[in-house]
This record gives sequence, structure tokens and C-alpha cells, in this order.
Amino acid sequence: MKMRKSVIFTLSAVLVATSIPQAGQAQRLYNKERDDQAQAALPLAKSLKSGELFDKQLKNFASLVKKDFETEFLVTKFQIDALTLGVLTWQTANAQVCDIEKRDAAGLVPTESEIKNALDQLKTSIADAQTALDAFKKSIKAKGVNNEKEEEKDDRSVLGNLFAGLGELDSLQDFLEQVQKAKPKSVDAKTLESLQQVQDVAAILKKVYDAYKAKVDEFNKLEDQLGELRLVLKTVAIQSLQVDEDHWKNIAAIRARREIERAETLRLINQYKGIVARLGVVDYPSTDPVKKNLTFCTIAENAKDTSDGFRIWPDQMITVHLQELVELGQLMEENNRLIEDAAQRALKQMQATTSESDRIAAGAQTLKALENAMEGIDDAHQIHRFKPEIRAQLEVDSKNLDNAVKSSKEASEAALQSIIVNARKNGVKIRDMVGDIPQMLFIVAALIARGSTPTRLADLRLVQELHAYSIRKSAVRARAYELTVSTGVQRLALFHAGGIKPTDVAELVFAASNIAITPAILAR
Amino acid sequence: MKKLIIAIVAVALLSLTGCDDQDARDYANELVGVLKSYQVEVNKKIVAEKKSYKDLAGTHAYARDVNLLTGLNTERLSRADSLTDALIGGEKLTPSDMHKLLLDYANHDFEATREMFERESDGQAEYLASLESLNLQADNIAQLTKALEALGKPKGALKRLKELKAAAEEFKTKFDDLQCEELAEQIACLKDEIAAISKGATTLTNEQKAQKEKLEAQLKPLEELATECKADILKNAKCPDKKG
Repeated sequence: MKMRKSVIFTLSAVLVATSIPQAGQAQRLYNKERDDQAQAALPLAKSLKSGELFDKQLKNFASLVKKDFETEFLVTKFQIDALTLGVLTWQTANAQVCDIEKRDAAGLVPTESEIKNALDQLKTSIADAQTALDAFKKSIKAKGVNNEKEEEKDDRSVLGNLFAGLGELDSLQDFLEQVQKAKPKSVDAKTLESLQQVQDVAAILKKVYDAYKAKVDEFNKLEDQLGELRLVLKTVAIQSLQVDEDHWKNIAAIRARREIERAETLRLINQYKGIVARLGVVDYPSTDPVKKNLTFCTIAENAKDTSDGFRIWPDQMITVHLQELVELGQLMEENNRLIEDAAQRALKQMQATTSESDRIAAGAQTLKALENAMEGIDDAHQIHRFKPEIRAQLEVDSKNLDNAVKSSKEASEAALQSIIVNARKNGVKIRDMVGDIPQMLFIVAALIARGSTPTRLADLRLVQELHAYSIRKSAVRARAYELTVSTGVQRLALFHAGGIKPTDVAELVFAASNIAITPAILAR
Repeated sequence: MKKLIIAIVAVALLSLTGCDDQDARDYANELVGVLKSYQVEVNKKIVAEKKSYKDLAGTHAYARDVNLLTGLNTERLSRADSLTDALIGGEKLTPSDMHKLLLDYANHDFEATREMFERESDGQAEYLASLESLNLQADNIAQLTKALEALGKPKGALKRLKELKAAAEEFKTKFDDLQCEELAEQIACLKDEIAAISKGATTLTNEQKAQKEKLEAQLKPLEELATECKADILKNAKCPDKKG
């Protein structure tokens, strides 16, 4: 009976002990040996949690990026603060603009066929990269020596979903479209250079996809125990490819972005050149056959030693030029007003005329006003291209009126009406003429404020991208390691027992995460 | 009797733990299947959302840039017009007055364009932030799947824990060395490049100086990463270009 009691007690105790639920575990009895082993494995398990480390690295990197940018902007700010009165001479203004052009927008405008060829080559390279990526995806889905089997069922393919984000070559495509839409003057030799760089990136991506495909083809041949690693290796390969693809797409995006921002600088430089040409400061584009192919900056630099029209430049203050222009503008504006007033009065008088002598008398004041205006222009310095244009218009108006008064009343009225209309048009032109220098000065200010910032920032972004790439690549490798060791640790031990060394497995996994060519070498 | 009791207890323990374990494993394996389907759906959703966010973000960033640059263009014209009016109206401006006007605009332009230049390359980072939660969900599913897969396997492998630990450590050491070798090669290549620029030149041109600075900037983070590598790996590394 005593024995029976103790049996019942023991059985009850066992039943109670085994029925107490333990969170996250199947019911089991305590095993000291296993516990010791588990405790020994704990530090190893902790060392696998690298996520925080890379998060920290990326955060540190973000602060570094911020500081780098601040330094770059300090340089630009310093350039603005260092802006002295010296910028108000033509020589300095041209030098400032040419300096930016040399760094940011050098070279002649390429021909349409050159642009088309470059765009066609880029299109081909993007298509080639996409074809190579499709081949990689096919290889991922397959297995076996000749890729004849299927790795996973399509409806539950985790691998298939992993690479769904691959191959979005939109940054390359966007750049292509931007250049296609650009106005011819926004495309220069540097744009062609950028097109070539983006095409290089597309070609590198193709090589990267090919290299990954070749490696995955090798994984597909793995059999027996190593065959169990295939899915892990493919997952690592896809994650690693994603990092490589992002890296090259980022490089292409940085270059494309620099090109887009540079286009705005190029637009400002073109505006500056247009104004300077109107002001007759630089003979550009030159009508002289010898200078026909010279750049704006070459002509501007050499103009000092040659007789290049009226020598208001290069050492004269722009403000003196502006003052002369304002005085000329005021004089022309006054003469323009006198012409219009005289023409308005003549138009009224013309209605009452009955003979040629009446018409000549009615138009005399207008002709005199036109003659005075032309004399005023002739006496002034040649300081703006609008001046001879307006002078030519006045001469045409004068001749037309002179002929009209000798012809008929209707012709005279038409000529006077045309003079009034032209006077109003000239009023706008005179104002634009005076406004050219203030507009040019603000363009120079904008160019100094932006300067070569886009180019310098692009250089900085490229260096930062290399740094970020090395962090991301390390993170993928750490994940590859975690994936293999923490989830495949049992297999790892099996390989060990079966004669396959963990170092061999490490080489396989490392190879899966390191297929692309080293970026630091390629980027040079 | 004693033998009988021991036998009963042993059978009871085996049947209780063993049956329960098998059920749990079957249940875990079923769950893995369900989770994988869910993971596929979430991944599909992420791809679709990503595309939508990216398209929208690109449009918004473009609109912002156009608005800013057009605004600055208008501002320049407006300031030039005011100055022209003042001059035509007979106002006398000294060169230093003009200088102040230019400085004022240059500072305005600098502040306005700074934000545009600083913005992320793809201009979409902020919009993509909301994708994080979806990605997190996908990661959680992946982790849960792995955990369930582990639960779905017999526990026999646990006995090999010591052996596993040794294998994992051996794996880790080799893996780290391979990473260090690659890093050391990159460092060696960059150092060779820097040395090639300085070689034979008494003074460097501005272009050479800039190139050298760029390479040194690339080298710095790599050297920081290499601090934990074995000294002999770093010492013996050669640039792959120069390997015989």
C-alpha cells in the first residue's frame, strides 16, 4: 500500500510537472548538460546580432554627411562674402563666369548626331543590362546541373519576391528622358561626358548581373549536403546583388543629378553671354571667320590685346558703362517721346491736308524729330546692339514718311501710324537696353552664389556613396553570416561531421555575397 | 514492483513529451506554409507601394525644384527692374550701393538653393520612409518563419550544440578573414594610386592635388573598417591589378 501510494504520488508529480506550460517551448525535463551547452552558445548568438552595429554605423555616417555638406556650403558662402567691388569690372565678371564655365559647362555644343549616337548607345546598354538581369532571375528560379529543375514553387517563391525590387533602372531611364527633352543649348560636351558615364554604369550593371548569374549557375550544381545550402546562397546572392545594383544606380543618379543642376548653371551662363554680346563687350559669336570657332571665354580673354570694337572693357567699371547706358537710354527715350508726340500731332493735321505741300508741312516736325533722334544716337558711343537697330528703324521710318508725304494723304497717315507704333516698340527696347546691365549683374550674383556647388557636391556624394556602399556591403555579409550560422547551424555541423569544413562553407557564402567587382577599383 | 514503476514513469515521460513535441512540430510546419504565403503577399505589396511612392515623390521633387528656380528667376528680374527704374528715374547709385544689392541677392539665392542642393539624390527618401513599416512587417514574418522552421525540426540536433559552436566559430573566423583580405586589397589599390600621383613630381598640379584628396577621402573609411583585421592580412595585401 505504501508502495502504491508512492507510485501514485510519483506519477501525479510527473503529470503536474509536465503539464505546466512553458512559454515558447515544448514540454521537457530540465537537462543540465543541455543548459550548459546553451549557455555556452549564448555569447556566440549575441555576436550574431549585427543589426545594431550597422544602424549605428549608418547613423554616424549620416552625421558625417551632414558635416561634409556644411563644409561645402561654407566654401560657397566664403566665396560670396569675398565678393568685392572688383566684380564690378567687365574683366572680373567675365573671369568669374568663365571660371564656372570651365569647371561646370566647358566645351562646344555637340552636334545633333553626336547627341543621338550617345543616347542610342545608352538605350542599348540599358536594354543589355535588363536582358542580363532576366537571365539572372531565370537562373535563380532554376536548379540542377543544366538548370533543368525548379528551385521553388512559383506561388510560394520567397526568392522570386526577393528579386522583385531588382532591375528598376529608372534613374538611368529618367536621365535619358531628361537629355532627350533638353533644349539644344542646354546640352554641351559635358552632357555627352555624363551620358558616357551613365552608359558605363549600365554596362557595369550588365557585368554585375552576368557575374551573379554565373555564380548562381554554380550554386545550382551543388548537390547532397551542400545542396541544402543552395537556398541560403541564393538568398545571399540576391541581397548582395541588390546592394551592388543600388550602388551603381546611386552613382548614375548622382551623375545625372549633377547634369540636371548643371543645366540651370548653363542656362544662366548662356543668358550672361547673350547680354554681354548685346552690350558689345565681347565679340561672341564672332562674325570674324578666324574667330568663328572660338569659345566665348577664349574671345573674352584675348579681347584685351586686340581692337575689339569700342574699348569700354576690360578694365572699366561696369557701373560707368551702366551710367553711360542710362544717359543714352534717357536721351533716346526723350527723343522717342518727341517723335511720338510729333507723329500724333501730324496725324491730326494730316486729316485737313489737301495738297502735297500741306502734307510736307504736316510731316515736317516728325521728320525733324526723327533726324534729331538719329543724330543723338550717332553722337553716342556704341554701347548696345539695340542702338544701331533702333537707329536703322528710325531711318526706315524717316524715309517712309518722306516718300509718303510726296505720294498721298492715305500713305502719309499710314506712315505716321507706323512711326507711332514703332516709337512704342522702341520705348520697350530702350528700357530693355538699360535693364540689360542690372539683369546681367544679378545673373553674375546667382552664378557666384551657386558657382560650382552642384559639381563639388556631386564629387562629395560619390565619395560618400563609396563609404555607404562599404557599410551596406558589410551589413549584407553580416546578414549572410547570420543566416548561415544561426539558421543553418545544424547543417553546418552536419557538414563538419561529413568531412566538409566550415571554412569551405564560409568561402561559398562569402563568394555569394562578393560577386561584383570591387567598387573602389572600378570607380576610378 | 520497483522495475514496473520505473518503466511506467519512463513510458509516461516519453509519451507525454514525445507526442506533444510531434504535434508542435506538425503545427509549426503548417504555420510555416501559411506564413510563406503571407510573406509573398506582403512582398508584392511592398513592390507596388514602392513604385507608387517613387513616382509620386519624383513628381513632387521636380515640381519643388521648378517652383524654386522659377521663383528665383522672377526675383532676379524684379530686382533688375527696380534698379533700372531707379536709374532711369535719375537716382544715383554708387558702385558700393550696387555691390550691396548684388551681395544681398547672392545671399538670398544661396539660402534658397541650399535646400535643393542638399536634398537626397533621388529626392524620394522622405516619401519612402513610410515604406519602413511594411519592410519591418516583412522582416518579422521572415524571422517568424525561420523560428517556426526551427521548431518544426526534431530536437536531436541540439545535442550537437558544442560541435555546432566549434563549427560556427571556425566559419566566422574564415568569413572575417575573407572580408579583411578584400578590404586590405582595396586599401592597397588606393595607396598605390596615391603613390602613383606623387611619384616623380616635385610639385603637384591642382588637378593632381584634387585627385589625391579624393582618393584619400575614399581611403579613410576603409582604414577605419580595417582596424579590427589581423595585422598580417593588411601587411601582405596587394592590389589585384598588380598581382602576378
